[in-house]
Amino acid sequence: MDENLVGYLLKSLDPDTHRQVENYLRDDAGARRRLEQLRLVLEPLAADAEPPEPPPGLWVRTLAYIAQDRCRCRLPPAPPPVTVPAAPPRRWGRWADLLIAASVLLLLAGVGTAWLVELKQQHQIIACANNLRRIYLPLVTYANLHNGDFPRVEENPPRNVAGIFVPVLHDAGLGQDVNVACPGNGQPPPPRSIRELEELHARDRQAFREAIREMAGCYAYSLGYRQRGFDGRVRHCGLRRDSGDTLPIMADQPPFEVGSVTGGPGNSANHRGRGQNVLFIGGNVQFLKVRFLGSGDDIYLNEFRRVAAGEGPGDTVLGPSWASPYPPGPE
Amino acid sequence: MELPDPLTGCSDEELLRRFCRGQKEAFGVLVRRYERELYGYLRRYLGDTNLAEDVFQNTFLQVYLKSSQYEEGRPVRPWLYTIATNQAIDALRRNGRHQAISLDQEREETGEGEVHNLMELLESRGPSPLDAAQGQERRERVRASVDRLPDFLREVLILAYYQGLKYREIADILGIPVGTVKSRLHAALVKLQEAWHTTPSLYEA
Repeated sequence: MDENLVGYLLKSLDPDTHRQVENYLRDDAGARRRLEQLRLVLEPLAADAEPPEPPPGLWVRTLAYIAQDRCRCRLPPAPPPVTVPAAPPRRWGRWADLLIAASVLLLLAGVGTAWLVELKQQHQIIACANNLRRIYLPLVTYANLHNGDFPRVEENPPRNVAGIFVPVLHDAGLGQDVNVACPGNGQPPPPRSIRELEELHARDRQAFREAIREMAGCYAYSLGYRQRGFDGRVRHCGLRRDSGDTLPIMADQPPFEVGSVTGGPGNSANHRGRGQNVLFIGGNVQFLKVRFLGSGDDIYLNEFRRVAAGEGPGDTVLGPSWASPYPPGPE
Repeated sequence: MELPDPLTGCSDEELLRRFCRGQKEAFGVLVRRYERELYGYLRRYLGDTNLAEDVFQNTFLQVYLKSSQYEEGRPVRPWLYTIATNQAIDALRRNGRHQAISLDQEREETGEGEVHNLMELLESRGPSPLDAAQGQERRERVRASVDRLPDFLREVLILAYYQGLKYREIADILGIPVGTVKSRLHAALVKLQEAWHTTPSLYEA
């Protein structure tokens, strides 16, 4: 029974064995003496009993690390390298070969500039998609920390505009990866906190309007949707982590002028009107050549063709930085 | 950042069950709940803050990835410790610090021999230099002597004494019989006794 004395002191035994040791100790004075000696053996360990403090924010970094790993896994695997069989050696110097070479050079010179421009635009589209994937990490981490809710546009200023997600993420300590300058178009605006915006709103309305106009940079963010509750009242809801992996949450900014309420036609100007990158709740990013989803839903306007909250959970509306779910009436 | 109240009141098992059924935010609550405890274990076991942080993050990445393998109703705490311990051993191995246990050592672990050694040692020992040490010196000496224990003894001591786990749980975490847990714990205490009686005060050298 002596082999269980240490376990008895540490309360590491199962209940039956613990009771047996208690009986053993009650009946055996020598056992009680040995138990006391063992207590003295263990006693110095208490000098270092205080558990080491974890570094600040470890759990937040851990969630971000997992989200980053999951995002990496979602990227499509790189295509296998193309191997072209080596051409058989041939003799140069024939006139026909020279003519072909000259034609190719002329053709290259002709299309070279256009090709380079095309290449640059393709690169910008890919860089923009990668940027949205980076922004997804803090967004999904925020949602994981807030009962599944992504940053939400609310009713009262300054939280009543689409761009509010940027200062919300900054205030939550998740803003270091949030660069809202699309590589295809634009410079990043200075980061602001909610408190700064509230002070600006109270102090200088014009400066406030300018600040919210640039807050989300070149991107659009979900304005949420309206939903009628059991009590018959209409409520405004934001997107949640479980709203559906295929619902858009962010995209390139829409092709609307600042102040427009009804929106205009066409694609985002970020990529010369060729389409827009769209970030979905599941973390996927797609370049859509039209601004409509498979369901026919316009990602920039609600069912009533307005830049306002969607008319239901499936009615996506991604508004530019200044847009509110409750705009004034049509002009 | 405020955590949602309904989840913070859930048991570990309920949190993992909710996470497995799609409630992603339950996972964040679990990570936060074990931040201090599991980091403390890893910090003691690995003896390095950076390595402990890396292993902590990898532990929860593995929990995330293996959540589909979690059997409902199984206690979460020992399962987390199993994953953390395996991750820690992998990290030590990568750093060339892991001490594999020899077959001879394994054969010697009968569960009975070490307790007699410990009792005999106690009979013959007087006060140790450690008894005279106080405060910071005492803490540093204790930590240093625990750090010097072989991995297979240190992990049992930490799990039993500092983490407060039951023998049965430790046996499951390390994949060894309960008798081996007891003998390793006694062996660890013998070695600590020897260390505390032979090493002079830190400030005497």
